[in-house]
Amino acid sequence: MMRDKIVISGIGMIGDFGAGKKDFCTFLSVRKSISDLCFDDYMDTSPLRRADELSYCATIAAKLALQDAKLDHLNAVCNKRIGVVLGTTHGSLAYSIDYNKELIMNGPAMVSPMLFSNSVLNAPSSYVSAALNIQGASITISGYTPVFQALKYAMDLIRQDILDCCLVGGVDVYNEIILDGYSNCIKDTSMLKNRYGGSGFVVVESAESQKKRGVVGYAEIQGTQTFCVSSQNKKSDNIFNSQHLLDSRCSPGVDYVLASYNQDGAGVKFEKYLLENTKENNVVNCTKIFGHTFAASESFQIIFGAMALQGSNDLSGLDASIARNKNLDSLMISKSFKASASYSIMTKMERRLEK
Amino acid sequence: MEKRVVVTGVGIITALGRGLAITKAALEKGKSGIANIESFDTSLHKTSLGAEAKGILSNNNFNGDRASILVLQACKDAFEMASLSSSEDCPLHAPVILGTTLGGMLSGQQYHRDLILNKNRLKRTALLKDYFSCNQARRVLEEFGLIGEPLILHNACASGLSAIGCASYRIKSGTSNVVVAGGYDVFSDFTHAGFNSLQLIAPKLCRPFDRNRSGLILGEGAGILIVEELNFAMERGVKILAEITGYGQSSDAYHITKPDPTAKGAAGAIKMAINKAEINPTDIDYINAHGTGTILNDAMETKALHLSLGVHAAKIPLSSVKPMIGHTLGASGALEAIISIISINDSFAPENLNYKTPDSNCKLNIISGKPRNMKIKTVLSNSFGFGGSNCALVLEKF
Repeated sequence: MMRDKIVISGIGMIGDFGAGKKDFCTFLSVRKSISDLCFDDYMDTSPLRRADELSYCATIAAKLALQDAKLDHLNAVCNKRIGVVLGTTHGSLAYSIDYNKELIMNGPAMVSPMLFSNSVLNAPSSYVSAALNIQGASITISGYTPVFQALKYAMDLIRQDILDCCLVGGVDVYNEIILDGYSNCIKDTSMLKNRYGGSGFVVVESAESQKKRGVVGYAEIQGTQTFCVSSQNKKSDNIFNSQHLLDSRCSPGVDYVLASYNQDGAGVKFEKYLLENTKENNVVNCTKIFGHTFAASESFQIIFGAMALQGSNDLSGLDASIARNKNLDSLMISKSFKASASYSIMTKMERRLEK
Repeated sequence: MEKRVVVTGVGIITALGRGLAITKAALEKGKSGIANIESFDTSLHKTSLGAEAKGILSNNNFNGDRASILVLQACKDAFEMASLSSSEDCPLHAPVILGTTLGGMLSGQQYHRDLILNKNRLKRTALLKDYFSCNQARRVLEEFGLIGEPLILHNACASGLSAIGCASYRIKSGTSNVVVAGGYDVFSDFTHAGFNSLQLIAPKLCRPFDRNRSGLILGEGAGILIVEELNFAMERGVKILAEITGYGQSSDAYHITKPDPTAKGAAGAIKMAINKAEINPTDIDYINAHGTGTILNDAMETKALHLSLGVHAAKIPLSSVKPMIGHTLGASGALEAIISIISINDSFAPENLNYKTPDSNCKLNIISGKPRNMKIKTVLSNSFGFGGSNCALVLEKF
């Protein structure tokens, strides 16, 4: 059952570090302004002329991922078998507020139709599909761990033969409104305001398709899971302690955990769980690398994991300990924030964890 | 052997009322829930009609904003119908998959107003909780004691049907035996003004597929389905309302608000649903159309049906229920799936209210004048949305 095996075969990203793999690896050392980036350097942006900033970021990251997976020159028939599943926490919040401002200040007869259409949450994924002529399913997922959820959805679509390949990504950009919203519930708001956010995409496909196309894979995704970790849910503790990891396909003894957590109740519980179930307590807190940029940092975290498992060079700009370890077999990538905790287990290509 | 997906419970709230019996009676009578908007002042808006779910706050056991209450009430009815419950000793593992376009927009608007006017700094952040759609799914998990994942899909006006499709994938993949799936959206001046700015709202009557159609009329509601794996449902001995046999989805890759006039994407979604259901166009007894009443959508849907069903497109009885319940955006796909289930179980197809003058661009067998009493085994239900989202579902009598 080759469709049972799902791999990552392409990655693309854009943010205040720049765009593409080389810039991404300098994440910690180089800080640019997003306005320094010329979007036209990466693609013909004419299909995006009425798009918002989120849609620009998502489309460029998706385009880079398709190029990396050598999927950027497909015909219309093939494009029906490619889809987009995009995760976002805030989506077009800033546009909703601009639109609402017009509604309040100028009255309902004066609102801009363009602001309204860009305030709809699936606008970025629709722009990705339209600009890149991707005709398979185009879905947007919102939530606190939406990129993990997008990954799971895409795996279902591939395993059930709806799609051959799927672009899975995350997009969120920083704005003052987000700082206003989270100022009471995130202790270290510097994690929010010191980063722009952006977008990251991976191309996932069946191992069968990846081999047939003769492209190099980054990592195999063993599975991904999401839980509600509400403080009111009395079963939260039991979920962490008793749930078999990923349909019993993997033992919890992974080499590293690339985690992202804050210090609320659920986060502490999750961190404790991770430390107890990881070889030599190798937990890297990705929040310190990528900041709190919601679906953007979540997508960067997944891309970082894929690159680490492939043995990519020059990861020292992200984390020195991972960069030193050239024999990684398996990773758990996890995120706990607010009402959700998600994790995904990835392994080196052609490797399986012990049952 | 592939797992089979069935529906065992539904909860429905629209401008026609709450519950299956009230909805069925209104559909049989050809009643419309569209009236003058009461929830906000329309004097400065271009149009003043809407399909509001009035009275939903009465007989309500739940706290929260309007979106949460709509969803929770519909879930309560669906759980009761499916005879499902969860307890601390015997928790039910079920993801909650909901589709919506704007989630808790009423709380969002209040947050926006306070932010713009720079007031209530401390209180306003609490409004964000209800604004984010994942809160509605999390509330379902909490209120009904479920263990599972809150998953929120945004596929514009196809969101509700997307959620049902995603639920069917979860059952077929074997990762869940039960999924709570559906869609919801609330009525707000945000969407009313937005659709008016796009010149998509009808000033008087919503009359899908009619030559004199002039647009849609917005509505609100929540539709929740308990979706189960067949054997799991059979072992519980619960009544099976219908089987989900096919689901298809695609993207136009064309425009952010306009449908692709070639209708190739929508036809692809319909073909995919039919292929997955392993049926022929001749097997379809009734089509519950997306039928918004806009010039472009109805012409595109007609073309999509002709491309995917061939000569049978003009023969199969078809109607849109949007003149009765309004266009409920993210809820519409789920609500129309539930109405399709009513059609299957009660052997009638609702009428396409207000339809009078045939349109040469919409050559279809439109049910007009009164509902059609007929045996219905198989229904095709379509949903299309902004951004070129296309979804189609095949439901069959079990």
